[in-house]
Amino acid sequence: MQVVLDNFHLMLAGLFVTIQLSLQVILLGTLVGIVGGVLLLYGPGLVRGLVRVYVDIIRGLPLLVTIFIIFYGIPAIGIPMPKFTAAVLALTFFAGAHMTEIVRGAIGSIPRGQTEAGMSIGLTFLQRLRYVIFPQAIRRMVPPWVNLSVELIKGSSLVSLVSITDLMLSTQEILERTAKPIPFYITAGVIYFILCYGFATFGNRLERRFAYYD
Amino acid sequence: MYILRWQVILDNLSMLLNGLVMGLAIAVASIFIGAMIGLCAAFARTSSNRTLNRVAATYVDVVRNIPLLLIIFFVYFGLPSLSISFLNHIASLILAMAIYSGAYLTEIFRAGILAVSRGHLEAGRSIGLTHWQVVRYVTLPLMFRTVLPSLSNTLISLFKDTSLGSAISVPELTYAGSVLNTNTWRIVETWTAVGALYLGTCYGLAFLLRRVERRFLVWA
Amino acid sequence: MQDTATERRAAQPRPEQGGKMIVIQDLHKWFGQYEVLRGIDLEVTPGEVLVIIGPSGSGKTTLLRCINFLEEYQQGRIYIDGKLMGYREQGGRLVKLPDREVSKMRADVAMVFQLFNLFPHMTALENVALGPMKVRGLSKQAAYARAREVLERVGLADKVEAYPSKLSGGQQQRVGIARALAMEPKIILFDEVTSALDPELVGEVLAVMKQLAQSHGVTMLVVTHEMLFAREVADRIVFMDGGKIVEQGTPEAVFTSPHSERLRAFLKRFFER
Repeated sequence: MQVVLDNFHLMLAGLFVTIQLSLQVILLGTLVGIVGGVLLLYGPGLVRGLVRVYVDIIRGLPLLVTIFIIFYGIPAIGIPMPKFTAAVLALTFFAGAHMTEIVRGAIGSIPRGQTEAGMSIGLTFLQRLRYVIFPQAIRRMVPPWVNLSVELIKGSSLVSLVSITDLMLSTQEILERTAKPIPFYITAGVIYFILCYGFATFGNRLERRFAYYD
Repeated sequence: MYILRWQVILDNLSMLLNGLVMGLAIAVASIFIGAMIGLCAAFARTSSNRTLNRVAATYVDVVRNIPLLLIIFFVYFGLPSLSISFLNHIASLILAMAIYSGAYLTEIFRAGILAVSRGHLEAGRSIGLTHWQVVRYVTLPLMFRTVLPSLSNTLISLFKDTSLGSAISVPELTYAGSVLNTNTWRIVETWTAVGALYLGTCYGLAFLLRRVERRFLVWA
Repeated sequence: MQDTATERRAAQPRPEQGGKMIVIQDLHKWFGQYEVLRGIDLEVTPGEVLVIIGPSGSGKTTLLRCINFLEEYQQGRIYIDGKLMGYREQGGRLVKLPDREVSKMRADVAMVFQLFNLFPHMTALENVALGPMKVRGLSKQAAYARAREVLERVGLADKVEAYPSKLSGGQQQRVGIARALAMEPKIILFDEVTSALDPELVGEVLAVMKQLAQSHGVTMLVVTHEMLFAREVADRIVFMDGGKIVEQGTPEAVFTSPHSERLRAFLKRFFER
């Protein structure tokens, strides 16, 4: 419909924000998760406890509440932070906790015999992680990682509720002006679908690449 | 210097608790309706009727790849423009969440249906049960066992998802927190309390549901 | 067959510990409350082929795993070629060595596992070359060359590019032996390496082990149920039961004239089948 095309550039601007946000969060969240997962499995007791607490708290909270806490809480205790950064931070907190669980599960599912075989040829702890454990774990991480990333792309829509002009908010703003919700919601839906389904397809291809040795 | 004043929370605890109960009620209602949708779609997905199968598959694929917030807005802001305006904000939230959870529940139920071994189904047919009797007396009870843990997890997820209702002024826990925040500007205390309530409820639910699972699975 | 570095090294007696490759003194190990090793004393000379037999639960696998420190021990001493394994002495007590030190010692004590434990994401060649490359510090070329040589020695020259998922059990286990050999270790530990194999595949693995044993090179400690193999190949047989060494001796002594009642009962069960 014509009205959609007239306002499409605004939706594109919002889409740009959504993509930027999602990519940064997926990347950072993955890094945090890898560090967290390794610490949770191999770290000293105190560190393991802290990571466990972090993961258990975030997983018990709705994403929106995590966003509110970071978004409103950080300025409240006196730290100035631009809105986009706060959003990235909040979503990364969320992503990191879930990714930690994914990493922990993947590495934990590698049979102990693999570690022992690595030990028996004299590999050090870091060598075992790098050459034996991690290459096998990464393959098991891909499906849940893809699911998490899709959840993050969808979850990025929540930043519209703290006035960040992503795809969702730009759609809402257009609605308020044109009073024709349905075509715009459908368009937004199609765009989100392409983003998520596209990412999932990419993920499937990635998984097949890591399964080269079956 | 920000000084913590917890008294504010205690004074308004009832508002927060009301929100919590509302959130739980909405989650339960949503999973109920969602389960009905999901069960139908799951049978559609496992049927030999190609059209039914494809319609259900499309439903699942589409709904799982769009944000819940979009579905909520579509129901609440979009449907009235098609003259469907008898839904208030709570009903809209429940419908939206039912549609959303229905897609996930479809896959859960589908796995459950497929997990019922052929042996059981054949045994049912061999004593003369019709197709639908087999479904009612064999498939459904056996499937229930497989899906119960996933159902519990879905309920807890839905409870967390009710937080999105705050975007359309549904008086659940997150909305109550926003209101409290706006009235008192006690940001740290408010959100700590809201967070603690969510944590307590989620882990409490998980504990209770696991107990229920164990009771139900005794006859497994 | 040419003498490898292992064989040359093993042929020279060591001055420490009276020239013994392995010295175990009063070894005790507990799993929680359960004492699985109840005072083991054992000495193994370089190049010796020692076969350990016994009923399940006797602690033979645990003993093996203590020797390369896959299991910790609480009391007693294990010396590998004169050096204390896994710990250092501090005022009469055992203090655990850091991972780096233990790894260095483990490089000389290779192990072949019952469940093979090959690295599934690497080809046979890569499996065997990993240790020489990353632990012995060989260049990629030299490591791969050595890996090819060893794989040929176990009869798998045509399978070097295969992934473990494409190999039979017997082939996988031979890769496991190759992986151990490629490290040119002082000792190789064999932990029931044929127990998980289909019967028709056992022979090819035992043949490789027999060849190794007869070359009089590396010290071998073999835990096995294959009595015929033990009789043919062992320099010495050790019988364990209930966490202790009950009897030991040459194969002839142990099999034809066992002294202890328990050993007699154990052998009877075996040869009655």
